[in-house]
Amino acid sequence: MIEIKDLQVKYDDFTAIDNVNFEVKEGEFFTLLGPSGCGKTTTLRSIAGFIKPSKGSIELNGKNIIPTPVEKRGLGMIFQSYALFPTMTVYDNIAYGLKIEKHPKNKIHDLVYELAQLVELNNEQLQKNVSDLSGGQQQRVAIARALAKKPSTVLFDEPLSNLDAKLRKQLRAELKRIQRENGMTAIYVTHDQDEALEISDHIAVFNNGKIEQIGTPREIYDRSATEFVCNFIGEANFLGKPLVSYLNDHSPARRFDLDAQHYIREEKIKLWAPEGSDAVPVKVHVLDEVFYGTFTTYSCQFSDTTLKIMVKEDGTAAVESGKELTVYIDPKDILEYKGA
Amino acid sequence: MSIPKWNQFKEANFLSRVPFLAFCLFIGWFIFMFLLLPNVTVLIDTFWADGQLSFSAFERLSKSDRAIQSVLNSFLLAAVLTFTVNAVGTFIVLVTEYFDIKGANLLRLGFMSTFVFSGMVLNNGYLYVYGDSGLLTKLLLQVFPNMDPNWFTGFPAVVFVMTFACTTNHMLFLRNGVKGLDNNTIEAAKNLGSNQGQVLKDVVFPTLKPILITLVIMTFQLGLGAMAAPIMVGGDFETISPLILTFTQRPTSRDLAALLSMILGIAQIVFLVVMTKNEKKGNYMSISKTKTRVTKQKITHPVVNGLVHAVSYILFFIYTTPLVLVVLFSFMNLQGISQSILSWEYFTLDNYINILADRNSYGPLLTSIGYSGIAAVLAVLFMTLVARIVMKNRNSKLAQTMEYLFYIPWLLPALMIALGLILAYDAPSSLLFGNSVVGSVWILPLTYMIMMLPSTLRYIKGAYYSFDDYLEDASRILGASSIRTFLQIILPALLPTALALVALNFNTYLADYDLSAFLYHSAYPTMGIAIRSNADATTNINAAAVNLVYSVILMAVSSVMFYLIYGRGSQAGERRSGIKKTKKTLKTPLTETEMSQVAPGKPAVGDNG
Amino acid sequence: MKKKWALGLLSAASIATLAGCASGESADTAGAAGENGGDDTILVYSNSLADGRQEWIDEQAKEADFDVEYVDAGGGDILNRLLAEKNAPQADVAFGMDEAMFFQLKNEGLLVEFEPEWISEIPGEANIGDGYFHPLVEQRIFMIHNPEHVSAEEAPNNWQDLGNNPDIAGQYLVPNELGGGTNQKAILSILLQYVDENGELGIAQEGWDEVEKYLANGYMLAEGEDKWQTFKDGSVPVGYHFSGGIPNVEEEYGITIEPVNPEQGVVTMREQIGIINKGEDHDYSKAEEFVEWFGSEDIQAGFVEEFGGVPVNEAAFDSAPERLQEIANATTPMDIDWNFVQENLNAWMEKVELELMP
Repeated sequence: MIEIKDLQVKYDDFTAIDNVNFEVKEGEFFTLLGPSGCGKTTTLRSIAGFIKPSKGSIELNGKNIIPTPVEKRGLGMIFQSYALFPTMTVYDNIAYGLKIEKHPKNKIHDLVYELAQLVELNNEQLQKNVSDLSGGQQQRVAIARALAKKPSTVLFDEPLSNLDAKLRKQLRAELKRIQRENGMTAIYVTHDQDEALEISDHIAVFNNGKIEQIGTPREIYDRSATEFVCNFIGEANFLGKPLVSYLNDHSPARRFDLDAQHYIREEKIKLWAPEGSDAVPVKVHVLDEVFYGTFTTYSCQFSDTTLKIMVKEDGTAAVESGKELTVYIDPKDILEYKGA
Repeated sequence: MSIPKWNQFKEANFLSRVPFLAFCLFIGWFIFMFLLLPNVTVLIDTFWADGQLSFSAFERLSKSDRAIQSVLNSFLLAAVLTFTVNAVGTFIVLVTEYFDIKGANLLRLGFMSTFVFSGMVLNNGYLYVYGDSGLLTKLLLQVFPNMDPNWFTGFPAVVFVMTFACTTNHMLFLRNGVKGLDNNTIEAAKNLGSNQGQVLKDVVFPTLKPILITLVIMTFQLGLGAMAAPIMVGGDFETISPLILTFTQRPTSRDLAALLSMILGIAQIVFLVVMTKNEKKGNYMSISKTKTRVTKQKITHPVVNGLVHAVSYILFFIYTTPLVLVVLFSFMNLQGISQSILSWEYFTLDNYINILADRNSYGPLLTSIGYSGIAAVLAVLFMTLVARIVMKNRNSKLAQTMEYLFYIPWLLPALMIALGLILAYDAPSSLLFGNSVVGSVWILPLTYMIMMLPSTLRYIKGAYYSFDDYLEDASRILGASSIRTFLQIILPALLPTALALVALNFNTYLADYDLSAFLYHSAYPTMGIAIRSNADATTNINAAAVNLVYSVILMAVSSVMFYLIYGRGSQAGERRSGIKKTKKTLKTPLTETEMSQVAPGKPAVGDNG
Repeated sequence: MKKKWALGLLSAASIATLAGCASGESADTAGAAGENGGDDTILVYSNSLADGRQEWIDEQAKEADFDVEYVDAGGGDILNRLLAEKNAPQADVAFGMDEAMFFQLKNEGLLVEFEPEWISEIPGEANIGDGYFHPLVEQRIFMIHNPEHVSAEEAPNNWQDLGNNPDIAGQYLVPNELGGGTNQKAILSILLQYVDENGELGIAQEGWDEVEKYLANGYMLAEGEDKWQTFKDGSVPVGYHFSGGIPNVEEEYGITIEPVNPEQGVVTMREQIGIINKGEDHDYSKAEEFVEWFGSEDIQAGFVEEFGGVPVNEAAFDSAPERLQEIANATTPMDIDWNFVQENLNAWMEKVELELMP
């Protein structure tokens, strides 16, 4: 179990992260999510030991590891640039950590082959030079290398961001599989919200050096705690004042504060009213539609608000551009953020 | 999301605490003991006359038109060479490594001749071609009987010789850089519609910028310190280094030597500071994850292609003819050498037999190999560590100061640095753990090492620009100690540059006489001492011939060393360690062709570039 | 595993260094033992060991039961080294450098007094070291000309004639640097004719002017250029040289070298020997034995027979090569106050280098 308490990293006058608190349980896949420069990598590198925090503690199984040097922390790490040793073969890269632990040769050999199998590298590739491998293969090597010493916790620093979309998806699933099969704890840094939602048990959303929200993917998505999180995760429609007033007028169930900011997720706007709901019918003007195969999105206008609506393509909907349309908004689906 | 550069100092991932602090302590001790104290001592001793500081050197110097002219000449030479040497150096590297030129292997060998062929003997070789009874002069005289046979003299002659003599650094370091280029970036640029010239200008040169900057700095220094060429082919064109040497050797003129040397040294450092100002701003990190080796570019324009081929081969002959003539003349007797006539009539093997059969020749040779070898290896190891710290703390004032302190040996002539060591430590010193430098065996290699530090640091630093910091992080998190990380990750990645420097440093001091005469231990005379003893012009009428033979023998030794250290060593560095294992453990061994594809591959970030 | 090989090389070299340091210390200890008199090794510093001289001396010394080690370098280098090591002298005996250098050593307190028995065989006027150093071999430095190209009538009578005769401008050799002893003596040959207490650095302005003219009209060799080839082919048929080198050149190049004996005589320097001061407690007996032995008639006679040169020791004079005896008879030594020269030599040379050389 890893517990981060009141972590702060300062560079001269600049505070990179402040007041960071979270807890990662054993075997959990925990993601630090946020835009560039939000402090997520700084946090990860603090855990790894590359950065000395100015305040706070990092506890690994109850023991503060801040004074422990990097090489004694027993963590695994996978880098965005893979950081494979260019002067070594694939085999030597994977075996590097094992050699440091002075395992007998044949044991290292067995372990390396086992790991290679795990990350699906073949024997021939093992003897290759790392620069002779493709990007995806290089990342597999990096994963195998990080796992070689069977660390209880592995840190991932945007490991998939250099790969193409398809490969990313494929490796993402593999990562999750490997993590689960080995029962290890993962702390994963990414700026890709889809990735975060897909593989995480818990997500901490970072912004400006602080954590905005910690929760399961579902919590983060459905009940985004802050306006930032709501905007950063998934697609959300901003509701203009006229629409909010209109909802206030037509919905007895919930009153909205007109000084607050209001959002609704694309897929929560329906073309029909679910039974027994308090959904409010809203007449909108259809501007545009985009067909995605399994679903279609419509851009609709209500007063000054443009709503994006995502509709599952089941053959029932038939909407024409330029026409009027009635959509249904359930007030309980509206996210309201007060204050700045 | 990556940490801003200026923050790296605060990162805890440089060498872990205890060894790091111990090493810092050592650096501090070394700088104080060997760079500051002795040199301050020698400067005080030099400028301190009759109980007070005397700056009469300024006055004496200002009265001397000759000295002032020499200083100006040195600067002129340095400025001109900065252009000519870099132009030729870049050209020969491109034609051997980047463009597809027929016979590139042969050309490369010719252009590499300056690795071992330098100094006085190189100028001798050029005189055999262009001198008053040289090969080319004789040819020209047949065409233009009225021309002055002494045409090859003065400033143009010096520039000519040095332009070709000083490209060694290009063939070592720029070559590594070009070989480490990422082919993908070249292909990408072409894909975007760049022609070959634009690819060079927009992709190749910017990538090589750090190494080019270093080369400009080093060329400037070579020009300022020019010695052999001005005294041998310079005629009236005098430069300052010969004067500095004369003044250094006379105790009462040492203040002049110090003053002149500091003028050159400070100019050199100012130039360095100016040139490196923009180095910090740039980002030279290789971003590409999967580097591919440069495939040689065929020059598409047929006229340009023909021209480049022609110039390449002309250069090849300029480089190799002097060397060939030196080797041939070393088999001539005195008559042949003094008249510059190659003939069977004058052929003799006596000089070779005398030297090679003399058992006393081998002791000094081994001593010199040992001394300069140890100094070269230690200087490179030491500066690799120091450069690491400098690069990690790019924005720390302390680290910057430290870096500049290591450039101190550029400020004073070698002999004065040696004198400083003697003056400071001629009695057993507690700072040296009770040792004294006088009469010790290690003072000479130590002085060699000190003299090697500045340029070694400069080159290693250049090499670090292409080193991926995350490699170090990765090693640390896998449990490697800082020392292990240095030895197994950083050093191998820098190996091509490091070995080139070892070889270069080694060669520079292999035949040293000036420092040896001052510091050598009576039981271990060096090669320089032995050569003087056997080829002293005042006692040995045959000195010129003997000298030539020694030069050729030393070139042979240097060549072997270069091959062993740089050639094989860096190949090994390039090759990776997997080959033996391939045969042992691999169930499906690689085929021959696959092996050869693996073998010459370059480490993605291992080269200076 | 090639990479390992390279790393291994590096680490092996480092270990070798450590070992080197260790052995360095042991060598130091040996040296210290020598200083304490426990070791009979004599450390000789000399500029006169080149070209087989060291081997010859060593052979003779072994027969005489001396254990000698040598530091061999140019004269100026040896002087510099001795001066630099002033506070921790290593050498026991120094020989070969001229009287100006030995005066400098003496004035720095680097020599101890010792009177070998053979000084009785030395002409009194040649023994100017006040008992601190003594002459061994004599060298005369004089103008020379090649009679094949320059007849006796055309030949200059004195150094000043060269600079003032436009007919031979560019055809006589002048020093291209003043680090070497012979080159310095060429300048001295002019300057010492114009000694004037009131002049700059003790030399009248006329003397400086003559040196300047002499240098301006002469021919400077480029480094590596063959002096004797130019002398032989007549392009530079006038020059200067030291007596000891003449016979070899004449034989090797098949030429005759004619010395010029100006009215004031020729600069005559004598290679000296002295014992280095290593403190009051030091036992000098071995060094004294060596000096006694090396300066003796037998060794000096043998030395000049083998390597040329004119011994100052009158008893050994006849052993000098015939040609050198001829030259000695054809020239007269110039009367020189070497202490005065020694005091000013460095400043003179520096002035010439800075202001008078073209």
